Amino acid sequence: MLPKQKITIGVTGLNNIDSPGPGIPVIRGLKESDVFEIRIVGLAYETLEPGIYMRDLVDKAYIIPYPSGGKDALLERLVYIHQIEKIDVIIPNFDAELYSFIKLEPELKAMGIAVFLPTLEQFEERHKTNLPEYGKKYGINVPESFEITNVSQVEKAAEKLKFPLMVKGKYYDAYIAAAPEQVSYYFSKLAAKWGLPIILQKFVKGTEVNVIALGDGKGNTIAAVPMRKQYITDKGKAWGGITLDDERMVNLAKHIIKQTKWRGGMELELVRDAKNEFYLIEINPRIPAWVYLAVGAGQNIPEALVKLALGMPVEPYANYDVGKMFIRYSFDMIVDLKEFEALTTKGEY
Amino acid sequence: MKIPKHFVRVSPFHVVLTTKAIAMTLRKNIAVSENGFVFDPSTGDSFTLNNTALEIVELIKSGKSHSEVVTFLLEKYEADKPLIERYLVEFFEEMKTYSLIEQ
Repeated sequence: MLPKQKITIGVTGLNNIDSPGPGIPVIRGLKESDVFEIRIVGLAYETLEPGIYMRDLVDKAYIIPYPSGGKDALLERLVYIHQIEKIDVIIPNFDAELYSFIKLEPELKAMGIAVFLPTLEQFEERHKTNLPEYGKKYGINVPESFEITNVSQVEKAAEKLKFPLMVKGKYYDAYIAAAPEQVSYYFSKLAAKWGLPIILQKFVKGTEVNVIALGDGKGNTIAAVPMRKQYITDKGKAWGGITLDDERMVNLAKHIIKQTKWRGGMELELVRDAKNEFYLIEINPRIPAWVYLAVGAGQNIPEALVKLALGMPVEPYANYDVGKMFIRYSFDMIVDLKEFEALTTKGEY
Repeated sequence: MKIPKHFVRVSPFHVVLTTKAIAMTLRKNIAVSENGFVFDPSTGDSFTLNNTALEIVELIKSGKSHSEVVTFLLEKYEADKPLIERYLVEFFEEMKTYSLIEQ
């Protein structure tokens, strides 16, 4: 057996909380790589992101500036971190930071840091606000939706969509509203958190199912695993799930990847209605937090993504285990104040 | 022996009495364990069968006909034919509701 290749990977999304970022599951997949021996540099926005303190998974952590600070501030910070850590690959895991990382790809490449992200066009095209157009273009069922920037637009949109309807934030969060008053309430809540526009989407009654997939940027699907949420938290996050044997879901992911030449990880959020029809609710342009289920089912998507980023040949996964489940749990870590102090004062630990 | 309820997870259903033989084919990818745990891999749904229901499912899986299943139940349980027939109709209605048998 060949010795493992030593590489350093920067990973964001270390907020392993009740609405978890994908960072820690991504790292767990990477640590199980047969090919790489990986040192992990955690890139965090908040000093209390739990992943920072998971020393068996994260070797060193740095605070980085919020996406709202702009890409130049991010680049400046990454230059500093790279001087110390010599990072080979960065895996960004938040929707909100992807724009900056996509824009910075040439600068990062010049520094010797690889990323494997969708193009800006791919990223923008699948945006929630563009999803109806996306559905038409690629022949996919998408519930009707409207983007609104003012509560006065609610009445007109609701006339078409009928109640109940979904109220969605630009990047994250979604609520079901049964009356105009609820829409107004959620509008204000989401606008304050994620900005405008807000998306009002027709509610499709059915079962929530998801597909995690990885595209090679040439139209090939390297990995695809369908999952059904079995336990959903009050924030709508999967706290338990099970892999499914559903060729139609896998084929839908393959269809989208082929049509768009998708580059990188993605998650399709779907609803299967009573007639067994699928509706595409969202496309998340990155690896989702339940990625470790795919790893457990036989498709190490984080490892495959790193190989693609490094220009290594990657064979598409042909199989996965059906009926594999994940069940999340919460866990208390005991952390020394000195660790927190180092993060707070120096921005690294 | 009294016939118990077949599924632990029981939902209300409408019972249609019939003497007609019922088509009984489990969907091909439905997994049934020896403990009566049923898993539908296309939906992720799982169910628990009681012993009687498990017996019936095993008979179906082995290719037994409707009348052969009725005969088996008549021999094993203290129940008359109309009751057995009604029980089977109810059971298959429920199996159909959960999309476990071929429609």
